[in-house]
Amino acid sequence: MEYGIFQIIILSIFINNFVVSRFLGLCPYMGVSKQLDSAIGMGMGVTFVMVMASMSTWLLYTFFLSPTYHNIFYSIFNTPIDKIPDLTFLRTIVFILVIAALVQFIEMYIQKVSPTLYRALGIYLPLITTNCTILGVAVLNIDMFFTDGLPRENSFINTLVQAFAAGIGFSLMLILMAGIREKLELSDIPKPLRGLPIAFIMAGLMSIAFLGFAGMNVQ
Amino acid sequence: MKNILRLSIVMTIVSLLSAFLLAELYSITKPKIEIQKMAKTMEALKMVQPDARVLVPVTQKIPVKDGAGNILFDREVIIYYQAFANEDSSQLLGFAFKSEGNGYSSVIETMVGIDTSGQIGRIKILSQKETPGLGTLSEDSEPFTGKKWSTKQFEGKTSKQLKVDKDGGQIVSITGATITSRAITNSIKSKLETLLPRMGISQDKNEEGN
Amino acid sequence: MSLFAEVIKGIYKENPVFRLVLGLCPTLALSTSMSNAIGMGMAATFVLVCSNAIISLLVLLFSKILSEEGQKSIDKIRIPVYIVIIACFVIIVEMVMSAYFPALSESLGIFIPLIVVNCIILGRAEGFANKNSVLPSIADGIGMGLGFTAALCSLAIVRELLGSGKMLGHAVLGAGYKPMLIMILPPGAFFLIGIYLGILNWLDLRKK
Repeated sequence: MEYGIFQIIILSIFINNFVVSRFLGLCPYMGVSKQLDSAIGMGMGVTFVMVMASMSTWLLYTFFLSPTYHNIFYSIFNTPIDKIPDLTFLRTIVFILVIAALVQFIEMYIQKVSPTLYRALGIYLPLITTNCTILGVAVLNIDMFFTDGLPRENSFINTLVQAFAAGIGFSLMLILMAGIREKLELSDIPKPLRGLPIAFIMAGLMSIAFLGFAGMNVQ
Repeated sequence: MKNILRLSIVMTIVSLLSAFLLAELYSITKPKIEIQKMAKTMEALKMVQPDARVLVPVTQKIPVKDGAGNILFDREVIIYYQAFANEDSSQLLGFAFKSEGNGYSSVIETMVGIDTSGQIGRIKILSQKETPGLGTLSEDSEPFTGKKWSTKQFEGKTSKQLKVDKDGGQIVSITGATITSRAITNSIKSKLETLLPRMGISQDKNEEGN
Repeated sequence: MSLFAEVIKGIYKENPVFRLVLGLCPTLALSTSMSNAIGMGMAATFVLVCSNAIISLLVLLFSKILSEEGQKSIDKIRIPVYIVIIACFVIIVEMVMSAYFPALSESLGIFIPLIVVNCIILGRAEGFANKNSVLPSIADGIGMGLGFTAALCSLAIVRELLGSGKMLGHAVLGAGYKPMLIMILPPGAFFLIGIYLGILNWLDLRKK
């Protein structure tokens, strides 16, 4: 059974929303959701980095880490397949370094090309490296779209779609939360619950709402 | 320039040291991980075919091809197990196989035991990472409504009868987790249907069993 | 500050989860049962202690062999080096756990590789280990790790008991108990941590 593109989009945005059902990226979800503007900036930044990171980690995993016929040792140096080192155990370390380097690179590039965009996104970029949604989606892509180190059918496209949809899902939650929290500032809440506690309770209510999507049949 | 050189030297040393350390540890833990996987499969086999004394894996050679379609080498893959009641493997009890289906957020693996006529005996969920509380119910416990849902209801079913109630079948689906229930049921059904001819059980005979 | 005080501060006064509000993802995701909570807590503690120790050792080493200027120039790749060291220990945990505790490794799932981006660990490396010597860094790692484990367990004990009527996998509330499923589903985690933070705030306000 394989998922189609539309199913992946619905699954990642609504049914398995990264924030409220997979519990990924909670630190920025709580930290950057005080104002709508910053929420939109952060959401855009995360979505962009997520797609770029998924693309590069997919390429690295297929052509470098996993010992299959895609591996560059086989295709360029003609090493026999059973002699290619299995580097899949280095997955975590390679992925996080790629993400860190990528974020650094994007930051420098944006700074040079578009100072306006840099002013909007710049402060969020360093935060994105330690955002677990990015590494999370990269690891998840490997778990979902590979069998025995070999990419499945449409693996690359599915990876990109899942990364993009996960980014949209994350942004959606961030923006919804920011909208609620801007209103919460003006309401009369018991003193001990002000700030983070009430934000968590709001997140719980949103999570209940998203549980409703679980009944959706996407197959 | 000197600065960049210094930075790269430090970074390289740190990375090489850690890669070396990890490679060492990997060579130690890899066989253990393989053994654990085998032990898990054996345990599941015992659960779905409790009376079996000997379990014989039936393998098939699957050619591994490169991008251009050239066959590189054959890989042996276990497609199912034969369960025998006695040591000298003469009295066939039934078969066991693994099925895989995409659930709500993960791949659900199920070990299935069937008898010689193709009827399902016991099943055991091997691995699933569904939302805790929703999909985990497929193990056996009480869902939202209090309706009992357990893997026992698969007992005695044939491939034709494998359908969840929402699709007009007999398998009661877990309330709030239809996707999980359907994934388990349909993955067993499709795997069973492809394996039946190989096991020498005809589909017609299977229907007569109803 | 004595070593013992370094350990103790992580548990209540500077608890990484409730006070510093770091490392939320594994805390909420893995507090569905006590066994998950303890497993995750131990894994994170191991990584914290080891990375704190190695990083403070490296800082010490560089301060001995490099000039002041040299140390400053190397400062640029500080964070990537920390990440490599942390990731290295995370992979060790990943491998050892799947070799010796396969069931736990399966139920912690994606959150084991994600220890790398746990803000507590990078935060302690940057905020404590690179400024202090080896022993206090280890003590800080133990304290923060225990604080993280304690926070996970305090959530897990309530969620497991109310959500499935069990304690460490054993049914304790009897067969007549109808589990409050919401507690082991994601919303329960959000509600509970919100309530905990509220109670802590209330205690602080009363003190003043």
